[in-house]
Amino acid sequence: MSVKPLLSADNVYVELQKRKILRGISLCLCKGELLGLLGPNGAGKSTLMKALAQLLPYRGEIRCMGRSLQQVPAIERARLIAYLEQSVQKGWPIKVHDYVALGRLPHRSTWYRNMHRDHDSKAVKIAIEQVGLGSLDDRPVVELSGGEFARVRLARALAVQTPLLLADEPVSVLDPFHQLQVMELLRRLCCDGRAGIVVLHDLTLASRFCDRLLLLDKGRTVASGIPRQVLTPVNLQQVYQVQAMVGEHQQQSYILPWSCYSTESSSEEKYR
Amino acid sequence: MKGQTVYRRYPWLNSGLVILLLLLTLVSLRIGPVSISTSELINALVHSQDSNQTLRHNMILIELRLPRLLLAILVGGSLGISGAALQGLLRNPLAEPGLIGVSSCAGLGAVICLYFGLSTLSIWLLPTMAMTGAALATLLLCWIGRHHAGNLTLILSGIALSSLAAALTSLALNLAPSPADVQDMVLWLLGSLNYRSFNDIQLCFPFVLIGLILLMSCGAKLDALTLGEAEAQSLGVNLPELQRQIIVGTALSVGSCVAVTGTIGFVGLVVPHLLRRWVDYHPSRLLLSSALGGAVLLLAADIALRLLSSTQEIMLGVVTALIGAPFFLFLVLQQKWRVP
Amino acid sequence: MPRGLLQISLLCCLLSVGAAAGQTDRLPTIVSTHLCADQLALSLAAPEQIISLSYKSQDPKRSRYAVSAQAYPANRGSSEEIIQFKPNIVLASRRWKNHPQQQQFDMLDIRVIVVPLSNSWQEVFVNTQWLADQVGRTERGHTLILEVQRRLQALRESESMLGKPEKSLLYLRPNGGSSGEGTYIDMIIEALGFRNHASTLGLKGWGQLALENIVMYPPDYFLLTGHVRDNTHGKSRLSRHPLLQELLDQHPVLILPSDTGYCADWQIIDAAEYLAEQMIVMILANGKDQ
Repeated sequence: MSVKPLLSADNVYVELQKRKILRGISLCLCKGELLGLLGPNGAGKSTLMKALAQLLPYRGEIRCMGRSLQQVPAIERARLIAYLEQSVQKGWPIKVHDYVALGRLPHRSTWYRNMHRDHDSKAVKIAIEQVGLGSLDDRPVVELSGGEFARVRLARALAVQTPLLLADEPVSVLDPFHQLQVMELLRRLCCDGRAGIVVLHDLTLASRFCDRLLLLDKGRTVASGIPRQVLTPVNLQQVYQVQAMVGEHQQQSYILPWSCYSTESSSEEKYR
Repeated sequence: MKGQTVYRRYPWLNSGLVILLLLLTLVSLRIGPVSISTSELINALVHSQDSNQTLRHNMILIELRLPRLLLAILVGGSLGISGAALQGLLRNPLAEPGLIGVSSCAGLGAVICLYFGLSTLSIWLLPTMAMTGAALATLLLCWIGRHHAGNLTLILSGIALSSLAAALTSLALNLAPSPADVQDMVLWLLGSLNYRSFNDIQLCFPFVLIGLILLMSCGAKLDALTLGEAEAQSLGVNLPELQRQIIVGTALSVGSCVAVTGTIGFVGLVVPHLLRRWVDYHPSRLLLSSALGGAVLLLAADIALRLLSSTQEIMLGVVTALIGAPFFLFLVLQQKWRVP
Repeated sequence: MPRGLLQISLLCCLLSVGAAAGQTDRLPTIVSTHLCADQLALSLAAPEQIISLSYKSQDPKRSRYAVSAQAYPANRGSSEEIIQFKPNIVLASRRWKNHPQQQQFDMLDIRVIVVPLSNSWQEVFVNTQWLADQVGRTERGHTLILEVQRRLQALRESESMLGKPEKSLLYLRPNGGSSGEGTYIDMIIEALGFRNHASTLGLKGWGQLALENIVMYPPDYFLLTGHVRDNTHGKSRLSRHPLLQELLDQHPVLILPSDTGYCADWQIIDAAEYLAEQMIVMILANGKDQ
């Protein structure tokens, strides 16, 4: 591709408490792309997301718009990359609106809290409506269900209005309707010129909504490319140890994990 | 808009607290063993040279009641804001300088300095030692918070630290070359504002001021911490820097106050908790309100004890503990269903 | 050391040496376990009567009789020591009287006498005579009382010379402690011819005064003391307050170096004489208007 990448990672290694978590991951993301990050539990997906968001020490180089991210000041980085953690505790019972508005912090200076207020409240309003939570505006976050809270958190990340969104399993606790709603939203945002990396466990959602996929196992890249090239029966057997049912509906393929491929190693996986 | 109604309630709370503080200030200046009526009070302040009586009233007001009043406001404000900041940092409503051992470690530093004759070297050594004690305690708690990140662990370590500091304080007083008896230990561990002068205020004011500025300026970052440490960092919050800022701010303000008044508990716990719902649980808005609320509470406690004491002075720490301890119990019982 | 004390000690020695030959075998033996009792024993009993004194009386920092007390073995007031010494009489403080070994003392026929404290000059005379009777030295008690009365009279006569009719004096400890009527401090103040300012401020017996009251109604004279237990940082806050320092600069101050050395018995006259001497020095230095 001749387009200058929005985000690129080159040979990223992460070591945590002397355990090698990532062993040389490289990736590249262009404007308008939605990249799906796949892999079994413990493959290093969340670690990679944290490294990309500069929340972990790593070796290798991660660049955003050509600049090495380690050289970008934190506040500037916050306006480039929005990061959504896998799961967090609800913390203080602040209202949904206020929670989402926290996403505007990188756009404010500490001393003038209400700077760009109109602009901010517009961004917050849009983000809340995008995830379909307009009716919950005034509710304290502690009163929300797990799925509602997950959407509030996504709205918070969207409210930062960054060119790049890193979302770690944004749909895993949602019901089917909201899973589709969120994935459609992410797809639409990327078509509008943003870019995103999403950690997913649902293979069908990954293959339907992502432009490209990156399949990780034990800290290494197993496959990367368009969904059809990555989600091959061989890869699924090797990495996920499942046999999948692959079908097609309205010219889009769906992949349904159907049975364990190797009973021996999967039971081992279970008790590890 | 719905969101904007939220923004309106909060300044009202602060103005209410300021008005309350002013009222209590007047009451505080009126109360004392020598009865001075309001007209005499004004007379004493305006025409202090007129007669022997107004001159003496002026001395009592300016040199006895005013330092006490100012110190109550400074100490209460420091404790309130430190409690709010620590609770925001640790995302735990039970964090409080007194409960988690910051105050008692500051007291230990002050006692070592006083009773081993170090305070004669330089008067600034006393607040410095107290602040060092407070900083070490906060540092230890942050380390524990990072490595054994559980609310319960943190609170329990704080209680252990607090008891240890109290025991070491008693030991220091026992071993001190200058004699110190039981009553002096109690004076330190319970805190008092009696017979403080402008010398004492001079000793703690610069540090309290720097500490308050440091704590006040971390509001937005504390807000971001509501999202959890990782997401807060992704919003540009430098977490180690924020921790340093709060540790230094708490140590400066609480440490220097403890050097002058001894340890006073529960203000930092009760005040942020009472006010939190009025600021819609925003850690940043809680800071200023807690400073004002802390000042109001401590001043009210000081007024109450002066009204209740006859010949023997009731210790300020006793009054705050009498208010705080039942409240703490209530808090713990209420929390039971919330903390997993 | 005040003049009077030397005289008394000399007198005491002479008398006891003279009386020794005939009386010794009949007089009861004494162990004293308390500083005040030690001093009373030294002033009332014959030297042969005394078996042991408390260790505190040998400490020159606490006792005004350290030199004479060092002639006797010291005790720390434990029951074991008492039983070992086997005296006829133990002189003790009121607190010591509650000793758990009381029954053993009864069995060994050791009598425990609580040294009476006096809160007025009249009580001093009565109590001194009573204690003298108890230790079998009635005559010595009589002499001592006459001596104290003579000195008290001399002090009162010098009042006019000191020129302080109706001046008030405030006794103040570093912690704000003071004493009104019915205390040995009040006896000193009375002997010196002052009005007790603490009583004017409404204090009865021992108690605390608020600095506000002292500022509002200051006395003519201050009487300060170097009470060791009061000098801890927390307790001596009142004495360190700039406002009090200012008052002390503006008013004449008498100082009783250590009021623990004076017990609430006839020795109060020593304290009063000591302060009267201070007053004379002060008046000579400042002229009579002071």
